[in-house]
Amino acid sequence: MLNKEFDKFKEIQGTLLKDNPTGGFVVIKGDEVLGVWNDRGDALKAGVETYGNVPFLVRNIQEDLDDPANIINFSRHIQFA
Amino acid sequence: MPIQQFISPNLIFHGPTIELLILPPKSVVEALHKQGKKIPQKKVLALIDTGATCTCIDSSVAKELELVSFDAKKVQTAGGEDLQAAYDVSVVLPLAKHMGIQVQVLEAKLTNQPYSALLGRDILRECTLIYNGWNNSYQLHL
Repeated sequence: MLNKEFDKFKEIQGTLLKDNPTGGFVVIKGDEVLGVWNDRGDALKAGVETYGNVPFLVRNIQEDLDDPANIINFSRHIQFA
Repeated sequence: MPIQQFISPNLIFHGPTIELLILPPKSVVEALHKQGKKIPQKKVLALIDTGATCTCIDSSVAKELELVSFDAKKVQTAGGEDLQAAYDVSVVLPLAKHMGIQVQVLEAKLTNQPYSALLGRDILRECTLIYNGWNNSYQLHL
């Protein structure tokens, strides 16, 4: 599940934050970094126009996956796919 | 402000539900439109779930809409934390048919449930929900 793209994101997140202090959404496909957009919709559009409707990563550069505040909770038991 | 009122004679048993129209995200719809391809869309019954951080759809819905994952979210499950594929979609509520809400949803196994989606707080943040147990009704304001 986008493992290569997540590895690349973790590798460059610090640089992305330094270069884009107000935040944004990065598009990564494999090792390629397409760019950073202010809006998720614009980033998605650029990715689809470049690569087509295939898996690539669109990620908020300010979001830390390991931050407990970003972990999604449910009040019921849900089995995920 | 669009308002929709629902009356469910057995609200305590069924819970507040709503019919949603789910489509791929706007950018994918535009790309498919340019290619002259049919836009996949699916009407689903969703349970309005104030206990869900984000909206979930059944695996069958994701498959039927041929959704592609562009992100992942960390989820707290019974077995611990797990990384789950997230899908960008447009969600259209019956009270605002002209407007698709762009959200990221998770794919869940909702087989054997009377609904095939959970409408979570990511969409409810755009709404006012009034649950009136006294007369088995609920209202959604957008």
